[in-house]
Order: sequence, then C-alpha cells, then structure tokens
Amino acid sequence: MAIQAYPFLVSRNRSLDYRTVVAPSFFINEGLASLLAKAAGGNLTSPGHAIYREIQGTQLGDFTLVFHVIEANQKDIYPGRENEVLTDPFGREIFLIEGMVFKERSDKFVITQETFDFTHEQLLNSYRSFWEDTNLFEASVVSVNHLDLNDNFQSGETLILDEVEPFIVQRKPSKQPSIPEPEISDITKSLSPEQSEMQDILDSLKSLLSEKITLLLLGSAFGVILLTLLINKLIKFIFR
Amino acid sequence: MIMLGPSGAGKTVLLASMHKKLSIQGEEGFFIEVQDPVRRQVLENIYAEVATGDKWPGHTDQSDQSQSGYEWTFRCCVRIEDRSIHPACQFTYLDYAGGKLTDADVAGEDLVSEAKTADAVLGLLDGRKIYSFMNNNDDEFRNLFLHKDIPSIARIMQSCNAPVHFVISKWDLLEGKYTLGQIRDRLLEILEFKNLISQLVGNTVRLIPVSSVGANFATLLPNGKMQKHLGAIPRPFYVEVPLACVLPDALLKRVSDLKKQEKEITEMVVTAKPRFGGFLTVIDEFLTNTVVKFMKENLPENYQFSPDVLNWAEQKIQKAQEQINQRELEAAKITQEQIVQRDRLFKDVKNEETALNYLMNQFLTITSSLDADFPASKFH
Repeated sequence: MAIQAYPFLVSRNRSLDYRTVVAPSFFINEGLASLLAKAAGGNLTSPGHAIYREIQGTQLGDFTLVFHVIEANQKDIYPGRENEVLTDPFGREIFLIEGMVFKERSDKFVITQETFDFTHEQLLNSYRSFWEDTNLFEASVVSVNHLDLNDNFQSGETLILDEVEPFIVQRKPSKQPSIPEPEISDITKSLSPEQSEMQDILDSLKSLLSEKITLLLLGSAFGVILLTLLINKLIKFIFR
Repeated sequence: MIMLGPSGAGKTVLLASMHKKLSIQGEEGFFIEVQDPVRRQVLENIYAEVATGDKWPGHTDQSDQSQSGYEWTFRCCVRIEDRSIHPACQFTYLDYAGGKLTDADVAGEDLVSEAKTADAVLGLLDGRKIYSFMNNNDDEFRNLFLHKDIPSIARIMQSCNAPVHFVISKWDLLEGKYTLGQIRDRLLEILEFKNLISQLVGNTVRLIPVSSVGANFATLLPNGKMQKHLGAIPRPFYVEVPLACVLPDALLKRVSDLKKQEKEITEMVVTAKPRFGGFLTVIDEFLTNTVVKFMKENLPENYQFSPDVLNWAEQKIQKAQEQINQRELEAAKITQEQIVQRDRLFKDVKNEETALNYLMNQFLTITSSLDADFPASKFH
C-alpha cells in the first residue's frame, strides 16, 4: 500500500518573515499550520541528505516530517531569469524549507531525490503567489494535493535521513471558566429585599451604637476631668 | 534584556558585535563572557561571517532546531592589576526571529510576555529603513518602517514596565548625512512613536546610534544591498552603549518603584490614624533613615547589590529629580569626579560587590559619553 505524503513549504518573501506557506489541509483546518515553521528549519541541507523529525502531541496525534533546506532561486519563480539566489531586502539569502508530512511515525521511509524534485515542482506555484503578495502583515496558508509514495518514486538516489529530536507540542491547559470571588459590594447587591432591609437595620444599629459609645466615652472623659479638678480643689482647701 | 526589532534590523549581528568588542577587557574596563564554549563559538562564527566574505549572516532560524537558541547569558567581569578576574553581574539577552514581532499571523504571545517581564527593553530601529524614511525614497522600506516596525514596537513597549531605550542600527549609513537630532525630530512626527515617548515621561529614554561594523566597511548599492569593502576591517561603533544604559537604568527603576511603594506604605499608616502624628513622625523618620535597608531587603535576588551601590542609586534618583532642568548641560561632559571615582573603584575591586560598584561607574561613564557626543540622544 502506498504511503501518503502531504507536501509543505516554509519560507519568506520580501516583507514577511519565515512562515508556513503550504501545509496539509488537516493542519490548516486545525490551526496547526504554524507548527511546521517551528518544527522545520535549520541550515542548508547537504546534498544526498534530508531531515527526519517527528511531531508529537498535537490534537490530531503524531506526525513525521521529512524535509530539506535549499536556496530559493530566481529562475524557479520567473522561468527564463538568471540562476540567482533570491534575497530579502537586506541581501540575505532566502531558503525554502520544503518537505512532506506523513501521518505515520516510521524511520523506514524510503525517500528519493526524485520525490523531492516532484514536491518542489508542486510547491513552486504556491511560492510564486506568496512571493508576489505585497501584504505587509499576513499571508494565507494553502494546501496542495498529497502524493502516493509508490514504486514510481522509488527510483533514483535514496536520501540519507538525518534524524533530529522530536518536536513535542506543548499544549496549553484547557481554560476552566473561573468563578471570581464576589466582593462585599457584590454580596450586598445580590441580597433579597427582606435581607437588604435587615442589613439596613443592622447598619443603623451599628451606627447608633457607635455614636452612643463615642458619647459615653466623651462623657466619661469629661467626668474624669471634672472629678480630678474637684479633688484638686478639695486637697487645696484641706491643706490651706 | 530584550531587543524588539523587526527582521533584518540587525539584532543578531549587534549581539555578535557587542560580544566581539567586549570579550577582551579594553578601555571600557570590563569584559563579557559566554561561559558555554559551544554557544560562544556560535557568536564568533556569526561575527566572522560579518567581518569576512561578501555575504551577510543569514536570518535567525525560528525553528527550535536553531543551534543558537534564543537566550544568551553573559557574565560581566573585571580583570584587575594582579590578573585576577572578578565577576560583577550577569544578564540574559533574548534573540528571536524578527517576524515574531511584526507579522500578525506568526506573532507570538511568548514575545509579549517576555517583554513584559524583562528588566530592560530595547527597541531596535533599522537604520536602513530610517535612511529611506529621512530621504523620502524607497517606498518598500518606508512603508515597512512606518506601518509595520514602529507600530509593532510601540504596541509591545507600551505594555512594559521596564526602562526602555531605542537603538538605531546601521548608523554608518546615516552618519554624516543626518544628525541624531534631525532623526529624532522626524521620528517624533510619527504618531505612534510620539505617543509612546509621551507615555514614558518620568523615565530616562534614550535614542542610541550603533553600528555593528562601523564606518567605511560597506556601501549601500543602488539596488538596496549593502556591499562590503574588500579587506575592510569592521570597527563596531557604540555597540556597548545599550548594555551600559540598561543596567543602571534597570536598577534605578527598581529602586524608584520601591521608594514609591515604601512611601505608599507610610502614607497609608498616616491616613489611618491621623491623631498619632507625633508618633508617626518618629516612625516616618525611622523609615526614611532605613530606606536603603528596606530596599536591600526587598530587592529581588538579581538586584542584591551592596549598600554602596544602593546608596549611589538612591542619590542618583534624588540628583536626577533636583537637576531635571540642567540635565543636558551636565551631560555635555564627563566629570573629573567620575574619572577619579573610576580609578578609586578600580583599585578597590577585590570581590563581586566591589566589582559591581566599579562596573556601575563604568556604565555611567559610557552613558555620559553618549550624552556628550549626542546631546539629542535623551528624549527625557
């Protein structure tokens, strides 16, 4: 049975930095397309080699990427132009990180240069549109048809797969709606009319009591002062 | 510290250039080191790519396969006359792919949260784009600068509590054509930038010109590319200044926040029991006299400096407040006092604490040089 390979492409254009340009439709639908730009990258891949990397822990399960990093060339975009590497506005060479997503996890894939050549041709149209896109802020991710890795792709040089450590998706904990602790004013607001009335009475009592205590304290203080003065007068009168 | 800059502005090259310039102790009087030799080699390779060949270093790989990673930890050390080395402090520089800042659909929340929790935030303005902006030509660069870079930087910076400065990269392109004052005035014509600067009143905000390669290393070609001159040697310009501005300012900000906090606590007590004025005055005096102790106890581990440094910072805040109107005048020269103090502090270096005292003074001297050479560098 042929294995299905879903082409993907990560690259940049003149104004947008590196991002996923092409991804499998099931990645796009689940909002996973940007994972490819995080998981695939690095320096130019040596001829005869490709990178093998597993993506683990997505909501859709685990996947395998097989990709290589090559220079983006002007003649790929505009046939007939010179064989010149595309550069960003600062003169830095632009890379194409192109490869395939597999739903299987296996390091037994036999990938040939011919497979990559075929995928490259498939991806060029999408890259051309992205290159000509002048939007300064965003670009949509597209998908292309998958290919069946059957005997047609088994001829030619078999690539050496350099395995790198798996990319493990850090899934955010699902957010439980938190119930905020009600503030005192909120509690008051939620009281029934009877409870509110009772609360008002209690408040009035507290206020009255507080006033009485204040008066009592003031009265006591005044009494103490008066008593002290009287004693003072009495002592002076006795010892005169 | 985190540098907020768009793709191609020169974040990684500036980092490599700063490391190159400060990796051996020179006139700055200190050096920085990356302790992991593999990581150090990565920086050295980037710089070698800048200095040699006809290509410029590639983009920062945003995949997590990147060998360089995003975090760079540096240790600032002082080597004294007896050849012993004293580490003074450590800082972490966050590097990342510029698209995370500017491209709406790949912008990462992680960058925003990193910026919010950073002790210092630097906004890197691309000198190449500023050149187009000043010239009113090259729509591609002007548009990117006005409609993408500045709004993105301002959006994140306005949510930061840390001290912020702006760094103009590729100063070699602008030097001799525009003064820093002219650029500053044009920048303030951009609404987002002007509003951001207005929000930052009360903090020292600087505009720092830097060049990772220096003058006469490369020429701007009509097709917009920078061509290196054959055999030219890079002479990094002011690449150490952003670092020198960051540590004292970060410390000052932290001390200033603590002072405010301490004042609030004192005022809360006074408001609660106004009748005990006399008693509270005594408490207030006690608190005022122990501000440094309070700060020492409350500063986070990263800021556990000696009382000398805290006193210095405390005095610096007071001085800054008193002399707010005379700042530009004062900044116009490096005082003799600083030189004398530098020599004294250098002789005193014998451990981490004294090394930090000395380093703080060195940083202050560097920022004074910036103020003297570029009086327009201070927004406020």
